[in-house]
Amino acid sequence: MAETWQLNAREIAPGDGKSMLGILNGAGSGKVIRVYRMWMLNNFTGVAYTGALLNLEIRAITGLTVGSGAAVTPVKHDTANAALDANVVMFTGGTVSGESATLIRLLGWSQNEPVVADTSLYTAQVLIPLGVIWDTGYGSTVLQPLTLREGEGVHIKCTTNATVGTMDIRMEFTQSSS
Amino acid sequence: MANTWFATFPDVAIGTANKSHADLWNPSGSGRVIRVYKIYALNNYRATAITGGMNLYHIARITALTVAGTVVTPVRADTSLENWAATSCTAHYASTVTEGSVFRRFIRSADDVGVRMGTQFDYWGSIHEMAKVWDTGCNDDAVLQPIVIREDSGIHIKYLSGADSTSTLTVVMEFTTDTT
Repeated sequence: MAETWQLNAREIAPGDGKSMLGILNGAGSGKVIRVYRMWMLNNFTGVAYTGALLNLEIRAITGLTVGSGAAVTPVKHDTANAALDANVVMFTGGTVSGESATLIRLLGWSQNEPVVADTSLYTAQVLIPLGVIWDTGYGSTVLQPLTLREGEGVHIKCTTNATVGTMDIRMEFTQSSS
Repeated sequence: MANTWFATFPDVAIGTANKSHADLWNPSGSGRVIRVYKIYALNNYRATAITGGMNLYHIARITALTVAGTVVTPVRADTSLENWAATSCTAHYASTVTEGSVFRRFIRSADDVGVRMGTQFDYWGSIHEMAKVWDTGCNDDAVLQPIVIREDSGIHIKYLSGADSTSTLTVVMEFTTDTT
């Protein structure tokens, strides 16, 4: 098995053009990062607010710095795994460069606090199996996952002008030398 | 195949914030490695109707089992293989633990599951596939690691906060034990 990591970014507020979560395999890492699965989850527990419909995009990038954002530390699936290479970085609200004009995936999201005894889409978005936004390559011997070679990254960007509420975004990825 | 186990932590009262709802512990000297492939967090509450609420949990490593709670004995998939006691590993709920890294968070509705509630997502929490909160490393996946628990460590499900403490949560873990 490849050394596997769980990246769990919590309570990310949306914003127009904001890089909600990005991962970059920086030059010099000597590693290949493969992203197998991603989720968006409505794990909001704050006070009720007036919701909004959001659009988000998954796009390739070639540069990522923390900017005014924050670093997110992934967790090893096995404590015996080697450390993640220092050139592999992950930020919420980071500053992106080299964003690809080609869209990898377009996402819709109902941003509202989840409530009990409810039938709304935003409450369904707490269920992990329904929160999957990427799983190509997972459990497959045919399809490739998102493969990030040195100098390559990917991020999830909000493209709607709304700032209410928060969401959790999660990625599962591996690090290997080839 | 590796020795496969099913641990069910049934109808554990939600209780107060930061309660450990299910733990799996691999003690020092066991000679075993635990690999957790699936975890379900089920809303099987079927007692008196309650107001309910949305509760937040997370899955985290634990680095110490300080006070063991109520013992749960996992069931083996093959009775010809070693029994649970032979592994020296343990499972409980309502333990006192020292927590390590957090793998992921999830929300579960703690409302009662009533008849004809099919359109409400409280009910969906009683459906196994919808209640699956961990499956990395299974699905015949030869690449991704499950949660690997080496000696002197463990994992648990912790109730972080929420709007209802009167209901229950049932956690199910599917895992293997091996010597390497």
